[in-house]
Amino acid sequence: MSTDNPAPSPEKLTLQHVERLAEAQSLDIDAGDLANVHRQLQLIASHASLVMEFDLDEEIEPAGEFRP
Amino acid sequence: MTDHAANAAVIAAAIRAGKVSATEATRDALDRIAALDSRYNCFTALTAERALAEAAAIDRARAQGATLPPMAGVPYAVKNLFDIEGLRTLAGSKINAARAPAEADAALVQRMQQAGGILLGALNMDEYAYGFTTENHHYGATHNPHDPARSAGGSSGGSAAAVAAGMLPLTLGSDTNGSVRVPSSLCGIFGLKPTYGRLSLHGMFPFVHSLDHAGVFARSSVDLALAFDALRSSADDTPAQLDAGIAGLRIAVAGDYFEQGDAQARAAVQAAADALQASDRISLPEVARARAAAYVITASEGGALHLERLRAHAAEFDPLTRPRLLAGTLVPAAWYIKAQRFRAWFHRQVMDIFDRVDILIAPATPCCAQLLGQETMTINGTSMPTRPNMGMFTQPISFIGLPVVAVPIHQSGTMPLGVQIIAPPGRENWALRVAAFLESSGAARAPIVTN
Repeated sequence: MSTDNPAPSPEKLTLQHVERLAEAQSLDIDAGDLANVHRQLQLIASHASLVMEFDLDEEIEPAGEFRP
Repeated sequence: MTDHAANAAVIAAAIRAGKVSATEATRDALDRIAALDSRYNCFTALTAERALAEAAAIDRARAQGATLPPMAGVPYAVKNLFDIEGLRTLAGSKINAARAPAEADAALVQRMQQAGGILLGALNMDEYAYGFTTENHHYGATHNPHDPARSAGGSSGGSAAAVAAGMLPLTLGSDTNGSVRVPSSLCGIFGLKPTYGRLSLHGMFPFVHSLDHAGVFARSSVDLALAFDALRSSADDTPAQLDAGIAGLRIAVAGDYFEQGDAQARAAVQAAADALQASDRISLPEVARARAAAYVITASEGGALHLERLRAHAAEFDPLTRPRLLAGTLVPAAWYIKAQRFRAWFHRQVMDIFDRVDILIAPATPCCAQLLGQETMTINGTSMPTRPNMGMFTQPISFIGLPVVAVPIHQSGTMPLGVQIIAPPGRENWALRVAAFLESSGAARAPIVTN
């Protein structure tokens, strides 16, 4: 069985989303930085969309280094 | 007086033979740094007093007839994210300058000291290693010795430029997405990024725990091997064996995604392939997605690492770094986890390819060094942001922790550009053998340049 993750849409990430997400993280983003942070998050989202649209079997675990 | 063009192995041999003292070699390197560093801005701190004390200890040991360690008297320096006892570990930041000085050396600095290396100082980098250009607003940009108007690459730009200019034969750096291989390529020197986990990261300021590697810069494959043998964690590992040649190694060119570089990048790979008589081409699956996943993991882990600092000291970050790290704190967990799951998948696919081939060759950068401050570059008619895209060929490889030697290809009338020699996990010795072959055939070389 494959996962069915909807790919993120960078264009749907608005400045208001960035402000709200930052507020939830207790981050105070300077007004002069906001547009640049928004652009950077859209860029990350465009990369994430490539990853999220790819079907992977559910049995595939995250790569990890934790070895108890 | 030592020959500043001498490589580490030659300096160590001269000191063992008594042709030059470790103190003379150290003073010569310090003089050369004093003469050149204002031009290239490689160093953020010098450890001259410590270096001269370490050199004097080597000279005393030799005078007493002791067997000297393999790198006795070899001057070296480290990216300023390595802990150096008594110095503040800047990691390229202003924020870290307020931290207490390190109480001990990083593990790899300790290993270099055990091998007889003489530590001369700490080297410039992009803030918190998040960049490919070493344009640091706190400590200034590092300039490329081939053309000071151009970037030395990053994030270990100071480490690469210092070796390229002949200030030192050897430096250490780190590589999360390409920060050894990109500056090696742009400064025209050799760089080694070993297998993920092969070298200790203890005492190094982190960036992305899933992807961080330590690495080495030098002007010869022999020096990379010498340093790697001194630094690696297990005494049982296979030594580099450079004289074994390339007989028996199945070598192929990585095609498709890795053919997107400009004409010079493609020519560099072809030059290496011709020298190696490698005509097979192999396509790795889903490389663009691998690069994208590395990008997501980097953003998320990097942002999470600096969350508290972003809350308390946002204004003190480098303006090139701050927006990227802030955006990284906002990445949904689902994106990050899918990227880590994709990493496991991609690793399996590439391991299957290594059943059929031993070495893959690919460009290290899509083009040669670009001008400092240049926001965009055009590759095959496509305009793209310069800073993130210098790592487009290195990111998918470090994503799954493969060992790589970046070898410098100098073509007439152009800036240098590197080629990645990529091996299966734990096979640094194969990549080093191929690099040594390319060097001995004349296809790869790393001349000192001080333009």
